[in-house]
Amino acid sequence: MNPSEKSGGALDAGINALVEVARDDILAATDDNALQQAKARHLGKQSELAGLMKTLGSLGPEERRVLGQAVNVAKRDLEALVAERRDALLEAAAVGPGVDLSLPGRMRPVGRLHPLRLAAREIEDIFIGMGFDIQQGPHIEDEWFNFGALNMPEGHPARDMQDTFYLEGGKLLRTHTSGVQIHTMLAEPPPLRMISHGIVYRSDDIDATHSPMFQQVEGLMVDDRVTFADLKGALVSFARQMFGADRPTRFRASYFPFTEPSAEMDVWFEEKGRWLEILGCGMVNPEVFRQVGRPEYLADGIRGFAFGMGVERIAMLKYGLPDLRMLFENDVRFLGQF
Amino acid sequence: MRVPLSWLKAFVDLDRSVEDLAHLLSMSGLEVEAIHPDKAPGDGFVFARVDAVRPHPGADRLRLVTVADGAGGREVVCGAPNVEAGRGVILAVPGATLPDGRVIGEAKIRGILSLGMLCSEAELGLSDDHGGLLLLEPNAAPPGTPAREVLGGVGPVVELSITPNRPDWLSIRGVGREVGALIGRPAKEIGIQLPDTSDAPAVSGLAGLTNLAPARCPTYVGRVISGVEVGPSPRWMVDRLAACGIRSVNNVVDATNYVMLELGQPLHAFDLDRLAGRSIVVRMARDGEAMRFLDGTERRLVGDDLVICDAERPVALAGVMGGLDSGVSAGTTHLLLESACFEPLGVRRSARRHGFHTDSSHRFERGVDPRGQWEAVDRLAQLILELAGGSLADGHLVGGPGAPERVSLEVRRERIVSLLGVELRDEDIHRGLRALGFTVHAQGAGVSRVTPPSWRVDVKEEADVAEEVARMWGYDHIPFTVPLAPVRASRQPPLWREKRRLETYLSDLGLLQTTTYTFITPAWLERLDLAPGDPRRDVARLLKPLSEELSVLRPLLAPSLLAVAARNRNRQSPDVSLFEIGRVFGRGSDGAEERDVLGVVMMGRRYARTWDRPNDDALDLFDLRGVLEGIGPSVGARPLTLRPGSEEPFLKPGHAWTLERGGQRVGFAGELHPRVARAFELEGAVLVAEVDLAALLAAPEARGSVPPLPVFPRVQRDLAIVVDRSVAAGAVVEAVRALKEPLIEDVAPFDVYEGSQLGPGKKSLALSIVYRAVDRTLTEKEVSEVHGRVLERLGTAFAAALRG
Repeated sequence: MNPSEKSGGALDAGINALVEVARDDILAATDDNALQQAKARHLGKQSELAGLMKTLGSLGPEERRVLGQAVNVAKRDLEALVAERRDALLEAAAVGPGVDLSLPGRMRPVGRLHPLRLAAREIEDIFIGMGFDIQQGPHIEDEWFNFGALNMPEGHPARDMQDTFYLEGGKLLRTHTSGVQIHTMLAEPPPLRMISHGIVYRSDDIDATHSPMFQQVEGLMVDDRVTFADLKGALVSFARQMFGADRPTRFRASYFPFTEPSAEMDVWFEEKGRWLEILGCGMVNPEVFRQVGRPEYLADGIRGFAFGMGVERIAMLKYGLPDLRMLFENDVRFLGQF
Repeated sequence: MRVPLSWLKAFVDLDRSVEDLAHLLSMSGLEVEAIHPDKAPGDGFVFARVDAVRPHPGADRLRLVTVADGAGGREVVCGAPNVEAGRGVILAVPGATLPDGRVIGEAKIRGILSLGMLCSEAELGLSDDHGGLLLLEPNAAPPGTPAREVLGGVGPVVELSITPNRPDWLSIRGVGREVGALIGRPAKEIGIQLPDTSDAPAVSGLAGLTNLAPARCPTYVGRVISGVEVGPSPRWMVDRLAACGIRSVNNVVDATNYVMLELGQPLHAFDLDRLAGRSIVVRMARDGEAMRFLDGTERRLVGDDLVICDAERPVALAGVMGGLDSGVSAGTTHLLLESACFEPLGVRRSARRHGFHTDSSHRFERGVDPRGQWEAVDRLAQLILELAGGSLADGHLVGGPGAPERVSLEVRRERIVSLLGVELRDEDIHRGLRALGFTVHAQGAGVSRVTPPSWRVDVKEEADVAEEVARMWGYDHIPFTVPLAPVRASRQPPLWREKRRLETYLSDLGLLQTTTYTFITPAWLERLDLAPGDPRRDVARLLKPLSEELSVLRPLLAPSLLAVAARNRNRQSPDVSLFEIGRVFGRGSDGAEERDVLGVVMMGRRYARTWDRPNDDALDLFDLRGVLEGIGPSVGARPLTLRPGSEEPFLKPGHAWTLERGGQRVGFAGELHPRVARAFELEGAVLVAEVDLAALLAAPEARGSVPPLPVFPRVQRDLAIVVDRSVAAGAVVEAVRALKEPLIEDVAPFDVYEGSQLGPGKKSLALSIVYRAVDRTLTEKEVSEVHGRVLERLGTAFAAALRG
C-alpha cells in the first residue's frame, strides 16, 4: 500500500463522513429556506468541501487527481440531492388542504359605454369603412337650416310630421340631423360623402317608442354619377354589416321633402316574424341644391343620395330592448350589461 | 285615411286578398298602419222583430222583451231605453261572441232568465254609439236571418298613413287610381247622372255669388237644391262613414262628407234660407270680425282669414269650418252647395291661427285637385237628390279665375336611367306614367313631354317624374350597385378621435356612460345655490315645453348626473361611477349657445364587497382626482391642472379644485356640498367634476418617439420631514423638482401623518425620491450628496425638521 493510497483512503473516508452529514442536513430541510441554508452550509464557499478543494493544490499529482475526483463526485451527488429535495418539497407543497373553489371571484369594477353610443359607433365605423367623412352640427338651428333649405318652406305640411321645440328669439332645437347636410354643402364643394351623428328633438311625449330627445345618423353622398341603385347598394351593405350578412332587406316608396325619389328601408327580423323599418332615404331633391345655391351643386349632372336613421331604433333592435325609456333611465343595472 | 275594401272596389276591379293589397300599397308609398277585419256580425247574431215589451218585475229600468227570431220566439231582458214593439233589432243568441270578446250566455237577470241580448251599434262594433238599440225596419228581413245579411257589412278596412305630398290619396277614388295603376287595370269612372234641369229655375235667380278674393280662392262653384227633406241617412251610408271614422249627422251633411271621402274634395252645404240676401261673398275677413263656429265656439277673425259670407256676415272660415248659424238643420229645405278650391297656405294659416284641424283643412292645406270642383258638386247634388229629394236648380254659380294652365315637363330617358341606375326603355317609362294618368308625348328617342293629371299637385319637375317611374317599375326591381366613387380615407373633425379615446379610457376605469336629456327642470338648478349674478342662472327656455320637468336647456351637466345617481340610489344601487359627454347651453347673444362638456359623478364604495374582504371603503376626492389626472395622457395631451380651491357654491369648501388648462379655468372638481347632496337626495361623499370638452382635448401634443427604457439601476431614498400642517404636499414636491437636480428622476409623497407627538399644528410628510443616471450606476456618495441638498432646501423653505 503506498502512502498516497493510504492517505487517499483516509481522505475518502473523511469525504464520506462529510457527505453523510450533508445528506442528513439536506433531507432534514422542510422548506425552501432551510434547504438553501443547508446547501450554503455544505456546498457554499465556506463549506468543508470547499475547504478540501482548496487543499488540493498542496498534494501530489496522483493524490490530487484521486481526491479531486472524489470531491467532485461528492459535490455532484449533494447537488443532485438538493435538487431532488427541492422537487420533493415543491411536490409536498402542492399537496395540502384544498380551498373552497366554489367561492366567487373578486371582480374588478368594469365600466361600459352607453348602448346608444355603442350603436352609434358601430354605424359610424361601417360608413367610415365606405369612405364617408364625419361631420357635426349645432343642436340649435334656425328655421332655414332645419326646414327651408330642406324643401320645407313656411306652411309646408311636412312640418306637421315633426313637432318642433322653439326657443325665444325664433331659433329651434333641430328636429333632424339633416341640417348638417346643408352646413356641409355650404362649406365644401362636391364630391361629398359624409355622415353626421347627433341628438335631435321633437315635441313628442315619452312612451315606449317615443322620446322628445333622440339621436340620428344622417348621410349624404353627392357627385356626378351616384344612382338610386348605389343608394340601395350602400344601405344594404350597411344593414348586412349591422344586423347580419343574411338579413333580407326591402325598399318601399315613401316621402321626404328633401329627397325625390324617396324610400324607406325595411329589414326582416325572423325572430319577430316581420319587416321593420330602419331608415329613410332617397335621391337629393334638386330644390335642396337650389336652396344651398353654390354653383358647384347646380352644375348639370350633379346629384346625390341621402339617408337618415334613428339610433335608438337600431339599438333597440340590435340589443333586443323592449322599451325606449330604458335608454334614458340610466339604471346602472341596465348600463352594466353592454 | 281609412279605406273600406268594399268601397274601394267601386273604383277598381280588385280580386286580391286584403293582405296582398296591403303589401302592394306599402311598397308603393301608401303605408298601411293597420288592417281592420270585417266588422260584420258573425254567427249567433240574427235579425229579430220585437213583438212585445213588458216591464221587468224586479227592476224599473229593465224590460222583458218578446222577439220573433224565426224559431218560435224567445224572451230577453233588455235595458235599452229605445226598445219598442214592432221594430227590427239584432239579437245575439247565447254562444255569440261580441267584438270585444265577451260571449253571450243564458243569464238570470234580477231573477228572470234572458235567452240572449239585443244589441246596440257599439255592441256590434259598428260605432261607439251606446245610447240604445240599433233599430231597423221590422220588415228588413224575415226574423232569423243572419245579421250580416241585413247589415250588409262594410268588409275589411285598410288604414293608411298618407304622406303630405299625396293629397290625392286622401280619397277612396285616389287610392283606387293608385291600385289600378299598380295592378294594370284602369280606375272606374264615377258616372254622375243628374236630372235634366233645362226646365228648372236658373240658379242665378235663386242665389248670388261674388268672389272678391280670387288669389285665395281660384275656383268657387255652387249649386242650389230646393225642397229637400233632411232626415237620417240610409244604413249603407252610415256604415261606410262609420268605417271611415265619421259619425252620421243627417242625410245632407253625410252626403257632403261622403263625397269628400269619395273624391277628396271638401264640400259644404248651406241652408239657403239662412243666408242673408241669399248670396255668397268670398272675401278677406275684417280684423276683429266675430264668427260663431259649428263647434259652438266664437272666434275673432283677422284680416288674413279668408271667409265665406252672406250679404251681412261670415258664414264659414274658408276651407276650415262652417258657421253655426247657416248650417243645415232638421228644418232646412233649400240648400246652397259649395265646392271650392282654396289656396293651401292661407287655409293652413287660418286653421293654425284658430286652432282647428278638420278633414277639410287637412285636404286644402295639402292641395285638392284644382279642377275637381265641378265634378264634386254635381256628385253631391246627385247624392242629395237621391237621399233627401228636392229639385236641382239649373246651372252653377261660378266665381274665380279657375285653375291655372296645366304645365308639361320634359323628361329625358338618359336622366331617369342615370339617376335610378337601372336600364329602362322609353316604353317602360311611358307605360308607368300612363297608368298613373299622365299624358305622354314622345318627342323622338329618349325625350318626351309629359303632363301630370290635374290631381297630381306634387309633380313639378323631372325628379318627381323619376320617382313615379321608379315606383311603377318597382323599387325592388332596381339593382343594388356599389358607388363608383374613388377610394379615399374618411376624414373626421378635430378632436373626434380623442373623444372616442376619452370615452374608452373612462369606461376602462370602471365608469358607466349615461345619456340624459339636455332639457331639465329649473328645480335642479335651484338646488345648486348658484350666486345671483351667475350667468348659468340665465337659462334658455323652451317656448312650449312638454312639462316643467323638461323646460330649460341645461347650463351644466352635473345636475343630470346627480339625478341619475339619486335615481340609482333610490333603486338600491348606491355605488355609482358615471360619466357623460353631453351638451350644455348658455344664453349667448341671440338666444342660446352650446358646447360639449365631460361630467363625472362618483359615489359609494370603491370596490364591491367580497367574501373575504368586507370593504366599506368609500370613494373619496383622490379617486376622482386620479380619474381626472389620467385624462390628458389618455388622449395624448398634458394632464389637467387641479388648482386647489373653487368658487362653485355647490362644492364643499376645502374639498374642491378648479380645473385649469394653460392658465384658463375649464372646469371644476370636488365633493358636493352636503346641503346640495341632500337636496338631490344623496348622502355621503358625492364626487363631481365637469370640464369643457374642447379645452380638455384641445391640442393634444404629437406623441414623440418612445424613449428607451433605463439600463442602469435606480436608487430610492425616503425621507420624512415635520412641517406646519398648512404646508401643502404639492408645494414640497414642487420645491424638490425646482432644484432641477439631473439625478432626481421622480419624487412623490407616500405618507402624511399627524399626531400629538409631533407638536401642535405640525404634520409629518414622507417623500420617496428616486435617483438615477442614464449612463452609469450611481454610487452611494453621489446619491448622498444630492439627497443632502434636498434636505437642506426643504429645511430652509419650509422650516422642516428631518424626522426620526
